[in-house]
Amino acid sequence: MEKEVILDVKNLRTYFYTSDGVVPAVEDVSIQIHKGETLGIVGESGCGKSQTMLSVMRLIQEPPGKIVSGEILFHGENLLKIPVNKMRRIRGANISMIFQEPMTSLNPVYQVGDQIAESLTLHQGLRGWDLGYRVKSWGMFWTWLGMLPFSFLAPVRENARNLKKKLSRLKVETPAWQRTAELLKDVGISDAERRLSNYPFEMSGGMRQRVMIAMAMSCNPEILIADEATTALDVTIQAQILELMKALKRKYGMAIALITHNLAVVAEMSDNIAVMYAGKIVEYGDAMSLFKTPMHPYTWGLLHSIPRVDEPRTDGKLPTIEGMVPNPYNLPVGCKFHPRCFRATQKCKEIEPTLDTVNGRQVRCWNMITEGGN
Amino acid sequence: MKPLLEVKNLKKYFPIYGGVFSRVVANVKAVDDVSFSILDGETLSLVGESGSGKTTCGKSILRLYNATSGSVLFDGQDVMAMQGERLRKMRRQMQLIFQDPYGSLNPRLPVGEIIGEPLVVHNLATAKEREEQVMEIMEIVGLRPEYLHRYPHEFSGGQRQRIGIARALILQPKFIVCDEPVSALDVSIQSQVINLLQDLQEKFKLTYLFVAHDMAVVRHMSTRVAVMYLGKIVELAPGEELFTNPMHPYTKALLDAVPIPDPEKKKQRSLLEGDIPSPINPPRGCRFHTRCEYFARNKFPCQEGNYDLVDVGGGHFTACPYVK
Repeated sequence: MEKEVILDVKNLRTYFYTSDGVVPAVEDVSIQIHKGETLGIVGESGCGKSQTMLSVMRLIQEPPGKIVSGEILFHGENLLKIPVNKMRRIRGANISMIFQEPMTSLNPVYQVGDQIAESLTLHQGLRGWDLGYRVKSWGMFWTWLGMLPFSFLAPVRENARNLKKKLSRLKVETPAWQRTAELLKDVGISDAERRLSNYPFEMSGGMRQRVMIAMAMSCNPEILIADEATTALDVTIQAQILELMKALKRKYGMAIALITHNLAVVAEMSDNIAVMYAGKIVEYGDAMSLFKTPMHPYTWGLLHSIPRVDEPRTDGKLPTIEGMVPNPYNLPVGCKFHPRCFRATQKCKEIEPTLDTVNGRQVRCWNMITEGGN
Repeated sequence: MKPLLEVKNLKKYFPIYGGVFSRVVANVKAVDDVSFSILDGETLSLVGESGSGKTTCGKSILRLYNATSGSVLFDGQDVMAMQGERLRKMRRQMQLIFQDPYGSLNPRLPVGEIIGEPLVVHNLATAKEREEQVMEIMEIVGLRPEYLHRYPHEFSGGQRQRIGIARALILQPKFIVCDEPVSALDVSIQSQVINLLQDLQEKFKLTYLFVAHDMAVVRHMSTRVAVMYLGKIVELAPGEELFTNPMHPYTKALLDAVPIPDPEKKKQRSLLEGDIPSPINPPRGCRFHTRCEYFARNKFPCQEGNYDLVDVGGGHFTACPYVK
């Protein structure tokens, strides 16, 4: 059964032109996201996994970055060709993103309700978000005026209190605010009505990440991009957030692009997995088979070098991937992985391998691990 | 085997000041009555969520924090009672490896000086001997000795962590507190550092207190594991025993929450509700009862009384008298 492809990235290249040279952050990446599926993008820091998805959102800072070539087809429409204001409508409404740091991605001086309502007002035209801002600015104006120590200002003080109350009451009745309350209930925050008027600092890390998810979910996007969404959280909270994302995926049928370095999280969530190394996809295929029979030596190394919590302790050492991630200014010739690879041959040092399809899986390697081999 | 380190009733409260006269209005009970011992040559892991007090515990043992009360016996001598010169001498035996390889190295010192600084502090070698020793230790932790004059920014995260390890090792300590030594590193680098730590333990007969939150790494490293929750140890058991037969409801939930890198093992998990409560005003009785599913179901009398570790045999201690 072939599902509809909603996002089709073809041969994407994103380069960064810095004073020290050109960094090919994303090099010839092609991925597809089907309706309702979860795609895991795995790799170490600096491998281009975040930059790929930021390119999809067209959030690459330009300069120094630039999407050099490629196509990003969203329902057949090339996102790289459409004007900025149209892209702005798609962001948040059709494709939305949650980031790693729930503290830094929320505005500390606004109530979380106002921040979620913002995208509802902007994308769905629900009235209400602007009221939150008005409460703040007008309320502050009258309050400060009333602080002047003159007795004839007593009515002003009274007025300020009344206005604040009135506007807050009005805000709570707006459709945007009501919908926001529903969203917060959806992501499992108890006592949602009260929590809406909390500021981010009043919430815990897990709660803030739920708010971020509520914000991203507010317009029922078709694709949710989660960039290391659980990395900063404790395991128990991580498990809660992952369950929540699964539940929301089932309920609304959205697709998830999960960017992470944690193989266990990917294993738990994904239908398909793309493994990236030095800006390129080195292995891309179905999650089950990829974990069972990794074909690229890098994937094999990653899977075997992590200690396992579900298997008894072995007395021997962990197999390791020697060396470290190459310097992006000075990538090796030939296969980018060959200096660290245990199967490298002369050919790997000279010629860059192509991304070949073997048994429905794409692998970029000259000496891939086949089942009969070692 | 005799214990190298004995921690007895260790408490560390951080006072909160308030009011007009800046009086102590409350205490953050980061570590609240913790006792354990570490045998010579073993690795004891402290695990728990953030805010459970595991790092504070490690730092209090090294006297980087002055503990509120309790005693720490290292080789039979009370570390808490030491002062001045005696404490300085004792610190040669106990070192620390930090979590953040970026924050824990002075960016304005070359690596050779960073690694050699403990020798200067303890006045143990002449300049020439120092350089020799530094180069020797760099070789051992897998850094090229030629890099002696480079600065920290020229190194990658994994190499910086090796620098931190070399600095801890140069005084030839017996005991090292590893405070989340691999959690800031990339996946492929983590295994290199884990292997290095194990090699060094074998080579120098080191004893580790391994503070971590990654259960997989803990299972791989530890001889024994202590699980902390809100400043108290709730379960202490030999490594494999804890992972195959967890007894305390918190340990069960914690192990349940860990994702497994195998898509075929999709598991049904019991999720912990809510967040870790505030250590300023921890719940009465068993501190975990607010999130405990066994309490919610069976209504054990968990809200009252003291829950200290009880021996259930085989070196396995648990603080929960109800769930087995």
